Order: sequence, then structure tokens, then C-alpha cells
Amino acid sequence: MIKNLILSVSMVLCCLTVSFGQDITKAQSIKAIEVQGIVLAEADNQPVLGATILVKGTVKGVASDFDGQFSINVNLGDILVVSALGYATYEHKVIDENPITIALKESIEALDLVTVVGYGVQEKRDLTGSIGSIKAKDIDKTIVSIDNALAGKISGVQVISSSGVPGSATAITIRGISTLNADSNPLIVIDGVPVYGANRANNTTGFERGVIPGIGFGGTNVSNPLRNNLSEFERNPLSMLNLNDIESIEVLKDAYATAIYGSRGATGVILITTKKGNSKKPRVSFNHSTTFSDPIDIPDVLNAEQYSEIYRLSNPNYSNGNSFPFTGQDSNWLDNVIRTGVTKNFNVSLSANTDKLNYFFSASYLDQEAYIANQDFKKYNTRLNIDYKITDNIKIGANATLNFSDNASLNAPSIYRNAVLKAPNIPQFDDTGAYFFGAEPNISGIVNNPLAQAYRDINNVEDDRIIGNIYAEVKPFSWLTLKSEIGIDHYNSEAYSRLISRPSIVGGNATSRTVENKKFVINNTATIVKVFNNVHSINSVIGQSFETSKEWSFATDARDFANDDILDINQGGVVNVSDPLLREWALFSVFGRVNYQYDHKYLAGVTYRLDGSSRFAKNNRYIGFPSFSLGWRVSNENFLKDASWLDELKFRGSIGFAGVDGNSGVGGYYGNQGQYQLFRYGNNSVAQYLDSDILQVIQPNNPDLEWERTRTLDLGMDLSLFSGRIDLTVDYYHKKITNLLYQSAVPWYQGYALQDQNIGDMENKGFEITLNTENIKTENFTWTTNFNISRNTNKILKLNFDGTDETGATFGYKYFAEGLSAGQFFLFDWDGVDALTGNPVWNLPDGTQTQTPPASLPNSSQYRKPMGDALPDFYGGFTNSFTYKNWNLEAFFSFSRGNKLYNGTKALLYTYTTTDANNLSTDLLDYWLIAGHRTDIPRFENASIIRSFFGGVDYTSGRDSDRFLEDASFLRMKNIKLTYNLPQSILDKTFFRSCSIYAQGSNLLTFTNYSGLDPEVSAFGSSALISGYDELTMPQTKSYSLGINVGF
Amino acid sequence: MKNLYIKITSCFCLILALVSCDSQLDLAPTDVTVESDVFATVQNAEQALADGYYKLFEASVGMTHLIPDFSLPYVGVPDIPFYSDFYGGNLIAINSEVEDIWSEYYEAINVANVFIQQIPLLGQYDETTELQHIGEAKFLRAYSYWALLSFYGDKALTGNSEGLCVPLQLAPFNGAKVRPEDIKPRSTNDEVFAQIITDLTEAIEDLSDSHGDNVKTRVRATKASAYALLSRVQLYKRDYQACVDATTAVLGNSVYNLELGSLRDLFPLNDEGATSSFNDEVIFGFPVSSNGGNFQFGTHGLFYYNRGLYAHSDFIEAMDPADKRRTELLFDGNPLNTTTNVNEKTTFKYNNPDSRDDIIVLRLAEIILNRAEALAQLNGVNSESVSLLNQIRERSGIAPVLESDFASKEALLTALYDERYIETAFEGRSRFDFIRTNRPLRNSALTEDQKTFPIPQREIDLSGGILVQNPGYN
Repeated sequence: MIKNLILSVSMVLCCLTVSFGQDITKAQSIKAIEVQGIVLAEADNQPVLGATILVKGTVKGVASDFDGQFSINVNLGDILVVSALGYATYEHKVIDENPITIALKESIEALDLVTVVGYGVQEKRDLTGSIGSIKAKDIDKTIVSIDNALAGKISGVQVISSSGVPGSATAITIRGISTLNADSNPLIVIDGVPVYGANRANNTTGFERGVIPGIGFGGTNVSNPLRNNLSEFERNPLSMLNLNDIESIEVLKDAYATAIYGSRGATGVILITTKKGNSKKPRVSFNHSTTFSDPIDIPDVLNAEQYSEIYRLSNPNYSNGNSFPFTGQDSNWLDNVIRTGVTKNFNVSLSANTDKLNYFFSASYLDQEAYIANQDFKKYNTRLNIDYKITDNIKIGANATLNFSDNASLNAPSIYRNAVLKAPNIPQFDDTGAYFFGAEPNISGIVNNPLAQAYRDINNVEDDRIIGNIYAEVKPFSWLTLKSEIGIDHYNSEAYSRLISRPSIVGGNATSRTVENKKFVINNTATIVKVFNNVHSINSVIGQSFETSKEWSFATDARDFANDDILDINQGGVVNVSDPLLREWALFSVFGRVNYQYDHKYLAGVTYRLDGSSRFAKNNRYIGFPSFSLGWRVSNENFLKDASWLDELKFRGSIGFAGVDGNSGVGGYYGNQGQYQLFRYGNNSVAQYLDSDILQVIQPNNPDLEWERTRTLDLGMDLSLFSGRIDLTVDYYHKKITNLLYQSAVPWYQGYALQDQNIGDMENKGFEITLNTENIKTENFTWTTNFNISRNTNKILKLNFDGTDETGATFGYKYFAEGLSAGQFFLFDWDGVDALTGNPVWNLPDGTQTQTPPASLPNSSQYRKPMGDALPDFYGGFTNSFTYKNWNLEAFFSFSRGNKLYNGTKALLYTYTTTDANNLSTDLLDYWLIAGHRTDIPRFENASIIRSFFGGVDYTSGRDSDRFLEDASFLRMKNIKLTYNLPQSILDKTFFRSCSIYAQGSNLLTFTNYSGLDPEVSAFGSSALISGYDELTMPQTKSYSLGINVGF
Repeated sequence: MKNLYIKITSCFCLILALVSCDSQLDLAPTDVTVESDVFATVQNAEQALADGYYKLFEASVGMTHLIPDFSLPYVGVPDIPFYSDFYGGNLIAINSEVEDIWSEYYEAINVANVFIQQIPLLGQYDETTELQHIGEAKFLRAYSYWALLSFYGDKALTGNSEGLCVPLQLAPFNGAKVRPEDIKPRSTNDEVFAQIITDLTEAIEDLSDSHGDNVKTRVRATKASAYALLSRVQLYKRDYQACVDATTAVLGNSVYNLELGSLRDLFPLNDEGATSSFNDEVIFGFPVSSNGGNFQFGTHGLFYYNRGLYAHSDFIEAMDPADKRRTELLFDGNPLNTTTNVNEKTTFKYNNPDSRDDIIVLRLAEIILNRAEALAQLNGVNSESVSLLNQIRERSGIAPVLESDFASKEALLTALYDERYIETAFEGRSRFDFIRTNRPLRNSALTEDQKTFPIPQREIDLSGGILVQNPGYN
């Protein structure tokens, strides 16, 4: 447990105190006797190091040494106040007894007083940086992935879930988007090892599906959905870790906290600390939970008869009979693939902390069924954390976890999508009882059969991952701790997809993709803690780190299999190797931190990190990131000493720098050496000049490129009142990113049109409030509230030569413009439907209206307008917890306000002009009928659907208008949980140490104006930059759980 | 004692770890070749040089090639702004072809600049080959500047030596240079001419006579191709003696011979799937047929086969009926096209259904005419000019002319101009030949200003006005 961390700090701290204690002893006036004693932990009779022994009523005292021993001169009758981190304060009256033994009780509250920081731990009261923290007891263990458990729990941390697919990615954004180049996901460090975190390129498993050509009878290029065929799946690299192993999660937010991670600190850092043994006697704990999950909601689509009628009406071209006939067949595709998913989770752990040995062992198993039939996610985790004290000042240890996961729900999004979209008048099975592929009786349509996809296609990804570190710690002097550690993160995955034979893919196909990510890190640190003259204290660390990463991937695919039962790729008729890729990078760093405090009253700190990255060539390879902080604990001033209601009032401020080291994965190399690759034509054949392959420059020398630099100013206040009944933390920050790397124009005569340049600037401003209150506290009843709210405003200050980049907008994505947020939508202004003609009406920026779709006009982007931000104005969460005797009821809400979400699901279900002839929303039944009819659904054949012989464009359902842009503000009860703890009196009669059972409901209640199914989705996984799209993205689950926790 | 060891060991470990790991950071991405490796081996360098040729090919074909032809009425062309802007006097500085021709030649120039600068620094292969590569790069650069000068140089082809031409970018891209003090202004026509001539003269020093293989010798720069280009440039510069001198080296080279048989041996039938072959007359060309690709990728983008553009009947009728260039080098084009310009004929010079004919850039007939023209300019009516002219006429199957047929220098020059016009029609230079000889283009009302392209507006904007626009376009 944290105790060990505390121990290591206090070991250091105490040694200093020892020395200062001795000084004081000398200065003591006459004392009658010298008392010798030992301080022990009551739980395991281990000596407590660094306990402070004060004579009550004076400021005189000593500290216990390594063996817990102390000696102090006192008078008989004096009261010794013994306190130590992690233990309840104990008072001992001196009687004629020598030596004395003092047994300290553990205190849970006391454990909260220590915070893990980069390369060390610190007492919370001495912190000058902004760090959010969540402890094991506050983590919802029914959640599968760590990042999801953070959602709404810590101010300044925004977690955007992507979908209801098990193991799917999330976008974690700490204090806003920090770069336009890479995803803004934070660095994640587990027990000192920076691990592979969210990264679209690295975690996306692609598998080519039978693509339905999108040529339409009204064909639509503009309205083509962004994700027409979801043939890829972005995994969440954190989902395979075991939440039960986590002791605490610390989120480093401001520059003072993150600068120690230098070039990777700009997007914030998440430190995860895993558990240790904490009792002398071995302890076993066991948890189990069973969860039943359903989708939050499912779309309302037409039945076969309605479908047939709408398509008949909307396609007057086919006058000779209905090309979409209703034959009596009514397939409810969605009903046939949706089920209640059952999740079973088992976890067992064994831990102890003996004289020499501390260990924590755990094993867990999770079987999570998606709410789509036959799609599930399984994972197996084991962990062993162990350390051994060879002597009093040498310790060796290891933390290691082996994980295996098998995600067989990659297909779920595609099945869901096809089940929603597939025409209901198409039969599910053919006459022989086999899955029916095809669009008949319709003239065209989706030929894929979602049932066959669910039950016959194979699609899974198996990941195995080892994260671990081995360390040795030596304390040559009382004030110095040297630690060396070696860590690894080996993350391998094998994805396999097998599609059975069908008319669109005769012979079927198979794809296999292997990804190996290997990370290796060495950290060496020297921690120095020293106190001078009783009041000056220094807590510092210097160190060095070297990290390498190798990312390798490889895919093979095959088609034309003899039959559907052959799985081996080699047996395919045509076998291809594709996308072999190998990337390596390395980071060498030196860092240091000095924290100084005067009498726990005045705090100051400096950190510095020098990073050298292989991604930059020699000219700009090394860069330093300094930061500075100051703190003032007003509550420790003499003039407030008497204010007993005031526990703590601290003002703190920091300023510092951090960076973004490119993208942590593929594509992150921006070295300044010209780079060449063979030039390939669009059909992938190598272009030649006569008989010579062509080696083409893909990136010229660009030696002037510099690192992106983030300067963060943080001003904070911590206030604690009435013995901790009210705890308030407020932070204001201003985060300015300069040297933003972005493609900008260069004169053509220099040989290129666009090159990366450090022109851009961006800022994030915001504040965060965390308020924890104990509203009612009686003997039997407690009510506590934890509340946090964050506001962030992002603004691009400078971008490129033009000041704007609309490239993304033309494809329906975001665009960037100076003066606006990076999450801005840039769209045509849809006004509504003209009741007289049934045509869509568009607003032009000059205030006029038109029935000609502006997208069809030349130079159309002049008619677009910024239409809102995908990033929220405010977000946060609150938990209310009620405890009555052995019962506890806890409700956790999260909220988000002001964020826009593009309801692409609706756009798709409003699109009746493509050859997909997809099923439609029941909203369409209110289509415009006659002049004067007021409705949102235009006339089927309207002026914004421009058909021509070659196809045409449907401007009504394009992602380039604001017709489907909606406010996705929400307040959601994420979790409500009722727990019953077996009373001690009963436990005493059993061999159980603890036992609790609980019932829990998740996502049961949502308040939102969003008309889609779920406001908490994002079609683009871990990318916060292009969040804000709901593209038939699978909604989150609504679930009920039952669980039991047992300890013995 | 034990403690001491530990202390020493740990200090040692720490120091060891702190010892520079810099070399460990020299990781290059594995999916690309970094520039220092490009110049480490001759194989890599040749492949990178192929990119220079390929970029020159891309810059030189398509509209770059078509515009100079349809600027004259012998090309039948749809009467739409896409084409007419270039001959009607409506050209604007944001025209996409004005931008593309500019940017594509400068892309080729950048590759050449990389070679010229980096080989001396990074080259690790045989020095003779290195020098030859530099020579080839200078040829590529010279050709590109010749094209840029012809399109964009303010009256560059009519002797306006102090007129503004294009910025002379002679160093490779090495980081964006967008501050005002980094912006290169436009050089004068004379300066650009001088740079082209310097490049070619230096290239001639280093280039070899042959690349071994017959085809390769004709698709990569040699001494002869540099001389040939030099003769063209000197003619354009109106330095006639220098032009004559340059032609001497080419005409005396036995590798290059006029095709005296069928002209379809010079411009062969290119069926689908044909590979490159170059006639003895060809000095330099692009091996499009062998470059890989298909109907979609790697094409030359000349729309003659499908009669989108075609040979105008007036042009055909004006030719001698016996002229092989009429009888052999014109045909019906794509037989499957039964809807567009059905009754028109088109040039046989680009007859591949996939638009992947080899492109001839420099051939002996041009050099012969260059010499004849330069000599006529120097000496008036003279026997050598007439005999050179007759070489072209006779091999085309038309009657030779006599020295006495020409009453004046101008008469001989006119005959030479006309011969060049017919001989090199559809080869992408007529506009320049007509401008430099003060003959009217398709639209005879065009002013001299309008015969020069505008500088792309984007370049002027990016330069903050340091690059100035050509007269008539502001």
C-alpha cells in the first residue's frame, strides 16, 4: 500500500529529523530523565521510521531512527505526542518506565496525505503543483478500463468515451488540446514505467471488409458518411490492465508537476501506482461482480412496410412498379443481433508486508459480453509486486504484470451498423436456411448480412502485454536514496479477421495483423532529503532516464478460400503481405527537482528536465524544460494559529514549460534529414524512370524545426475547514503553446508548397474547482459530497500563413482558424424546410436565404460559418455518498455543457438517396406533403438533391451543414451503488476479515437535449481533435451489477 | 567497508548511465532512406536522380506541353476558358496551370539542387559518377529554367534582357525561408539565361557521351543532350554564334542520325503495353512507355489520341500532299471515339491508347534547324543553311530548295521558321518559336505583355510583394 511509499519518504525525512532532533536535544534545558523507546506499527509490530516524538506544549522533539528507536529528555508527567505519516497521532504520558514501547495505529486519512509525484512522493501539504488524485477506494471496479474510471472524477481531466464496444478507445484530454499534430492524450506512467497509451495509429486494427461501392442513383459524395464502412477498430491499450491492482492514480496537470516529464508533459501525465502488501499477516481478498448490460437506447427505424413506402415515394424515377417492394417479409435485424450482455469479473489478491519481504499478488479474469450477439471481450491479468530488504539500507524489488486479452468484439460496430441500416424487407435466410446475402427484393442495397457477420465471421484481436520494472534501492547516507530501475512494456497483438464467402466476396477473405510494441526504460535517481536548523527543508531528486521503443507491425491477407472452414491464411487462393512497418525511437533525459520549504510555511520548487529525442536530428535534439513554483501555507502563520476551524489554507503558483515529443507512435519522426521513399503510383505499383526505381523525397531537410513548447501558469488555492469537513481546491491556469508545428505555405520556388513550420500558437485557459464536503456526520450516518467542475477555453492564436486551414472541413471534419477553438465545426447554415415548397432553406453569411444548396456553389467555403465547438465549456462530476451503519449508498453523476456533437447517425438515417437504400429513421414519416405543411423533413425530391445522369449529390444529409449538429450537453447518473458491509460482530465469528455485497446500476439516467442515442460517444476513438461525431457509433451500455468483496 | 563498496558501486552506476547516450539517439526511421544514405551508394543516388528526371517529365507534359501548341491555330481545341485563357488574353495570376507549371518545374529544380549541393558533402561513391550525376542535375536545372524563362520571363524571348524573369533558386530546400530577408526577388532574363548557359557549360564538362544502353543514353543527359539544349537556349537568347558552336558538337556525333525512312520509325506506333524505344534521331526524351503505370497513372496527359485536341484541317491542308509529316504523322486517333470530333485527324506523335507514349524532348531535326537558323541570322542566305533545311525537307519527302530561291535573309528565315513549324508541331514549343520570331499567335491581337505568363499570385503574396508581377497583370 501507499504506506510503503510513505515509508520511503519518511525514511528519508526522518533521517533529517534525527539530526535536527539531536541538535534540539542539546539545546534543551534541564530534563529530569532520558527516556528511550521504540515506535512500532500496531498492525505488524514493525518499527516505524521517522515518527516525530514531541513533548506536548513545546516545539521540542526528536524522530525515531531506522529501528524505530528514539531517546528524549523529559520530565515525569510530560506527554509525548508521537506522530508519523500514515498513522494516527498517539499521546503517551511519561511515567517511570524505560524503555517505552509505542504502538501506532494506521490511519486511512493519513495515507491521503501523501501524493505520488514524478520520480518520487511528496507530502500533500508541501505540494506546490496541481495534482489530481484518486485512491483505490474511489475507483469503480466494475468498469473495465482505467481511463473510463477517471471520467468525471478529477477536475481538468476530460475523458471522451468512444463507444459501447468492449475495449474501445477513449480520448483523455488534460486541460485542453495541446497540439494539432498528435493526439492530445497524456503520458501514462505505471510504477515508473511510461507505457504505451492511447494512440490511434498504434492501436487501430484494420481489416478490410467487403466494401459496398457508394455509387448512388442519387449518389452522394457530400453526404457520404464519414465512416462508411467501419473496417477498423481502435483498441484501448489501458483496458487490458486490472483496475483492482491500482492503489492510486495521480494526474499531473500544471507545469510544475509535469515539467519533470519534459518533452512529454504538455498533455499532462497520469501516474498509476499499484498495490503493495500492508499487513504483517498475509491477507487475501476476493471480489466478484456480474453485470448485465444493454445498449442505452437503440434507433427507431422503419418496418418493412414503411420502408417500402418511403422508398417508393422517394424514387419517382422507378415509375414502373416499386423497386423496393414489401413482400410480407419484415426482418428486424437489430432485434436479432442485440442481446443483454453478461459480464463476469473475478479478482483475487494475496498480500503481506513482513520484516524483510513485501508482496502483493493478484489474478483476475473478466469475461465481458458486448450487447451484440456473439461478440465478447475476455481478459486475464496477473500481477506480482514484491520487494525485499536485504539490509536496512538496501532494498530490491519488482513490479510485474502479465496480461492477456482476447477481444472478439471488433466486429460489433460493423454488425450494429449493418443491422441498423439493412433494409427490413430483405429476408435473413435463403430457402435453404443459409444466411441470405443480397439486397433482393430491392433493386439495390446493403448485401452484407449482419447475422452472418455476428455468427459466422471471425474477428478478434489477441493482445498480450507485460509491464514491469525491477529496481534496487540503496541508502548510503541517511539523507540520500539511490534508486536504479529497469522497466519494460511489451505489448503484442495479433488480430485476425475471417469473412465467409458471400456474393460480394466470393471465396471469402482473411486478414491477420501482428503488432509488436516494445518499450525499455532505465531510470536512475538520487533522492536527497535534508533538514537544516529545524526549519529549512530540502526534498530533491536528480536523475537520468533512457527510454527506447520499437514498434513493429505486419499484416497478411488472403482471399479465395476453398471453403468457409479454412482459417489458415496460407490456404487462401491469393495471399498478400501488406504494411510491414518498423519504427524505433529513443529518449535520453536528465532531470532534477528541488523543493524547499521553510517550516511548512513557505514553499518553493524548481524542476528541470533535459530531453534528447531521436525524433529530432542533432541541431535541435536537446531541449530543457524548466519550471518554478511557490507556495504559502497561510494557515501555518502565527496570526492564524488560533483559528481552529481552519485546517489548511495554501496559496500556490507555478510556471513552467513542457513539450510534445511528436506523436508517440507511428509518424512521429520529424527529423531534419531529408527522407526518401520509393515513389508509387496510386495503384501501389512502383514508378520507374526507364528501368530505375524512383527514390522520391517525402520530407526534405527541415532543420529549423523546433520543439513545440507549452508554457503553463497555474494559480491555485487549497482550503480545508472544520477538521476536514470542507475541502476546497481551486486552480486557474493559462497554458500557452508556442512553436506549434503545422504545415504552412512556402514559396513554390523553394521546391515545395507546404512544409511543417513552427508558426502556430494556441492557448488553453480555464479553471478547476474541487469541493469535498462532509455534510452530515453522526455516529451512524454520514453524507459526503465530492464535486468537481472544470472549464477550458481553447483558442488557436496563430496557425499558418493563411491563418486558416479548411482542408478538414471539405471532408466534413474540423477546420482550424485563428481566433477559434481547435474543436470548431465549420458548416453551412441549414435553416429548415420551406413550408410552401418543401425545399430546404439555407442561410448565407450575408443574412440572405436561398434554396440552392450553398455547397453546390463555386468557392463554396465562403458560405460556411463556425458553428460551435466539439469541446465542452464546462464538465465535471459529483458523487454523493450516504452511509448509515453498515449500509452505503453512492451516486455518481457526470456532466458536460456546451459541447456540440454531430449527429451523423441521424444524417445517415435521413439519407435515402444512395444505392445502399439503407433503412431510415421513423422521423422521415413526417415528410413534407403539401404546401403549408410545417416539418423538418423536406420534400423527398427537393432542390437540395441534385441528380444527374452520372449520379448526383444529396446536399440534405451532408456532414457539411449544421442540420444535424446538436448540443450534446448532458447530465448523467453514471453510477449508483448500494453496498452492505457485514458488521464486525458477525465477521468476528467467521474467518472473514471483511465482507461486503453491493448492487449497482450504471448509466441508468441521462438528461440531455441531444436527440441521438447517447451524447457520450466519439466516432474517432482517442482523438480529441476530431471528437464530436456520432456516426452510428454504438451507444454506451446501461447496466446492472451485483458484486461481492471478501477479505480474509 | 561493505557500505563503502555499495556507495562506490552506485555512484559508478549512476555515472555510467549518465555518460552520453547521444549515439543511441541516432535512430533513423526504417521505412525511409535518409539523405545521407541516398548519397552513400551509387544505386541509391541513381534512383534519386531518376526522381529528378521523373519530376522534369511531370512538369513538361500535360498542359505544359499542350499550351505552347494550342497557342497556335494548328491545334483544334474546344472553345472553353480552360484552353482559351491561354491564347485569348484572359490569363489571370491564379490560373491553376500558371501555378502548376511554375511549381512543378521548381520541384524538379529542387531535386537538381539537392544533387548539386549534397553530392560534394555526402557523396561516397566513385567520383567520376558523382560528377556525372552533378552534370545530369545541372542539365535538369537548365532545362527547367529554360521552360520557366520561356513562360514567365517578361519578354524574355524578344530580347528584353533586363526584363524580370523568375527567382533563381540554386540551393535545395533547407527549411522554410519565408521571412522577407530570405525571399529571393526575380532575376533578370539575362541572369537566368546566363545561369542556364553556365549550368549547361559545366554539365558538358562532367557528362559522359553515353550511358551504355541505347535507350538509356537517350533518356538521361549526355554531353550531346546538353549541347543540344544549349543550342536551343542560345538561339532563344539570340546569341547565334554560340548556337552554331553548340550544334557543331551534336551534328558531328555519329550516335544521332536523321531518320531517313518512315517517320513512323521516329514516332512509332505505341500499342498498349509497348516499352520504350528511341530512334537514332532522338537526343533526349522521356521513356514514358517503360515508366510503369497504366491508363491512369504515369501518363503524359496529352489528349490527342481521343481527338479531344486534334490537328486542325487548315494546318493539314496547307502541307504538301506528299509530305510524310502529312501522310505518316496524322491519323484518325481512337477508333472507339465515335462522338467527338469524328471528322478530324489527329497527330500520330501521341498514338498510345493509354497516353503513355515516349516523349521526345530534343531531337536532331531541331538542332539542324537551330543551326540553319543561326547561320542565316549570322550570314544571311548561305549554302549551309539551305542544305540543312533540305535535309529536313528531303527526308520528309518534299522537294529541296535552292539557295537562289531566297531573295533575302528574311526569306530564308521565313522558310526555316515554316519548316520548324511543321516539323515540330505538337512537340510543345511552337508558342515560344512564334513569340521569339515576332510572329502572331492564334489570337493576333495579343499584346507583348499578354504573351508572357503572370507570376502565380500566391508567390507574390507569400513574398510580401518582393516578387513583382509581370506588366499587364496587376
